[in-house]
Amino acid sequence: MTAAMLDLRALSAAALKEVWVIRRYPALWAGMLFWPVLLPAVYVLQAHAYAGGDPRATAAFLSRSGTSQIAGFIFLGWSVYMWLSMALWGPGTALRQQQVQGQLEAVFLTPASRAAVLFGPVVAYLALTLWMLFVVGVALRLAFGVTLGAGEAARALAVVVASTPAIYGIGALFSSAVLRWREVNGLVQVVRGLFTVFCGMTYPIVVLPSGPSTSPTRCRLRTSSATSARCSSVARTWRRWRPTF
Amino acid sequence: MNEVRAALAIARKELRTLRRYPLQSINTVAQPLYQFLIPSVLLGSTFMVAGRAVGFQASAGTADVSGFLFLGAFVGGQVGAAFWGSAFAFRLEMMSGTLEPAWLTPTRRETFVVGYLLASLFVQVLGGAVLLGIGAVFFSARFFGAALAALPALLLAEVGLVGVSYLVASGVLLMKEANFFVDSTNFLFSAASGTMFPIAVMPGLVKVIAFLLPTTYALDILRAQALGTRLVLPGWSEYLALAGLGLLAVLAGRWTFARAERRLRRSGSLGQY
Repeated sequence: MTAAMLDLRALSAAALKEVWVIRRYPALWAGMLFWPVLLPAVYVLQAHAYAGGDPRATAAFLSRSGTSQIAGFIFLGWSVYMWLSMALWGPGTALRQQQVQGQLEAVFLTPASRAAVLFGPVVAYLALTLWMLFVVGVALRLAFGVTLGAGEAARALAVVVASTPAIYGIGALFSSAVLRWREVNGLVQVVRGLFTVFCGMTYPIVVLPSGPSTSPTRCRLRTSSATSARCSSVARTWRRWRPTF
Repeated sequence: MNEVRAALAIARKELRTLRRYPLQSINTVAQPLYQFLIPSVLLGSTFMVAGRAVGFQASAGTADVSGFLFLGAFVGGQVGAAFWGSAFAFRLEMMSGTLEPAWLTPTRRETFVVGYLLASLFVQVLGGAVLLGIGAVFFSARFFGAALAALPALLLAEVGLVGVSYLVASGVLLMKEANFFVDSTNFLFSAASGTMFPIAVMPGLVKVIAFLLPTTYALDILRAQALGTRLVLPGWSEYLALAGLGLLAVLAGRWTFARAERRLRRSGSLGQY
């Protein structure tokens, strides 16, 4: 068996182990139903408070965001936030947990490559991400009547696929940092916070003071929102994707 | 007296551990800022008409979006301390295998919860004060000294939060992996207390739950004093509701914690996680 094949086996074993661990804690699955629906829903309520039933306020939102679908806009933004959270929390926490429980040294003594240990949990959390996006889509449709056609769903999926290397690259970077500084919470919060503030996850980025706009998440978010707001052609979508690639 | 000393020693130990993780301490201020306050303030600015929050004025009774949100974050921090203070500490002791030895000491089990909460509240109050300062300096939030008049309401709310902390600790001890339970209930409790938006925009059932939480009244009094918003209940009835619900929370929390402890003793599952 070649070295690459052995690495692949180690990777799938690491992913499978993570799936087993996740399966043993049903609360994690409950979270995958709870957060994608309730976190954005609270911000939708906040947006309603800002609108206050005043048509001038709603018109201001429309002019700044380019869409009147407040719920759709906020749900999509928060789904990217949750995806990022999973990419940062999941693999990093898995490593940190092994460290706290004293298993990491034993794992590192095996002949499995470090990449397999690092990226194994990522594969498991990718499945959770797809599930989360599905829940967001269902919640949008049932609670707010926002429907995505096949073409829009395909474009949204393409955006997700294109963004995956960038997001999980950041996740891997973060996991390495966890090994170095032995602290998971603070690091996750800082990185996630930076993305939340600068990527316009809950607001249109036009309200930010002008500055650089080249973060992959920010580009992807603009594309996702545009996809849902049905105001972007394929060519325009592609132009926005390029920095993500 | 011995129990008070033990509670203070537990709090000191927690603070010493926290000092070893500086990023964690910085996040007491930074996290609410970049995860809730800045996104919320910017979302609010998306609805502004000629720089004025006309819609928010109609629903919340004030156009000071920053003031409203920063005061919400201050009380939200206290709620977070009640939920995560004991939960995180118990969980960490479980995972490190130090919970059983700690429980074999002559200190009463209830004292551990109070000690963890004290440490957590100390950090959150300091962090909250810094947040309010940032709100006043950088976000033009206008709470002034008037907020000090709401201090008795905040102290009454802390009593209720002790009860909440007992309830959460019981959940953690019984469930073992309780991160989702703590995170979700903390989020819902905080949101239903009106930290992010006025009670007026809550759906019917959530509004009923909001009226059962002591922190709803504490925050309402705080905002009324600082921003001049209208109280949801007339006059002193808010203070009465706050005190009554706080006392009820403590009694319910102590009872639940005692039951949880008895169950752990019977099942012998304290050391499992």
